[in-house]
Amino acid sequence: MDSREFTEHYRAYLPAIAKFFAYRASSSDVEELAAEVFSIAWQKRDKAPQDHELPWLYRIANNVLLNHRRKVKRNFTLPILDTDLIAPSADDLVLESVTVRQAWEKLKVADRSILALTALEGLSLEDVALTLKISKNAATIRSHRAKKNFSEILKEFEG
Amino acid sequence: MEDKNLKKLQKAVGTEVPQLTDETIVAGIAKPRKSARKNLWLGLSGVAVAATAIFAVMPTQAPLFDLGAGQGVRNSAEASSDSKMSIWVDYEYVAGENLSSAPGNGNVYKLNLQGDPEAIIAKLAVQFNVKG
Repeated sequence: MDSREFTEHYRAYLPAIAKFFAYRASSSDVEELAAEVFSIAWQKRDKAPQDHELPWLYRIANNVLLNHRRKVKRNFTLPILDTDLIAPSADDLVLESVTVRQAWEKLKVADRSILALTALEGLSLEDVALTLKISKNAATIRSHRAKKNFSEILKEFEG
Repeated sequence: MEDKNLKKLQKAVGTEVPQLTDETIVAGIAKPRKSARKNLWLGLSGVAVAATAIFAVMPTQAPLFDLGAGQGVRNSAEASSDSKMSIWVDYEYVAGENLSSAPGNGNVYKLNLQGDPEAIIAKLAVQFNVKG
């Protein structure tokens, strides 16, 4: 695969990668971070799993985000799980509804990470499983639990 | 119900997602990257430099004075004799509840002298060739 073919093939994933970083980093850093993802993907293009490029790119994006946060924050500590990093905060998402914001802030990190990937970024459960390195069954259970928890918490705040 | 709440979530998100173009991918492809092998060599050379620096600052000359030499020997001898002295402790042994009060039993032997003592001594003197 030459550079032209690579660009044509990976063009389809640009919006997803842009959204990933827009939800988790400063808007001014999105383009640079996305370029870094495609730089690594270009270097490792021979190892890209066929038909599963998106979760592969998400995993690269996760590592790029991790390195970026290390550089930006001096006191940055490594998260216990990768999923902790993938979870966007209420500030990252600029949540405009007060109740939704309160519910999102109260939601567990693991629930937030999986809801962001499924409900906000539109990943299939299979792609979520590959991104988080868990089984599809586990992704289904966690997704269902996260939706349920979010609904219950939101109901509390809505009264 | 849950889907309705998810729609509320999707609607509430106000983050602006920038539109990226092919230029982002092209920029990524053009980005120079260090190879893993190069990184390994850089790491190893860093460790080597650090090790050299540590050995360079380690003291190699003899110290100006030694606390254990000269006068220290006498002091250590005194200290040795001092260390033999021990504080007198008056121990009091009190029998505990577990001490048995049962009397002992067993055989008792008594030696009885057989014959005249002077005759026995004379006999022993002859035996060991003792005169007088």
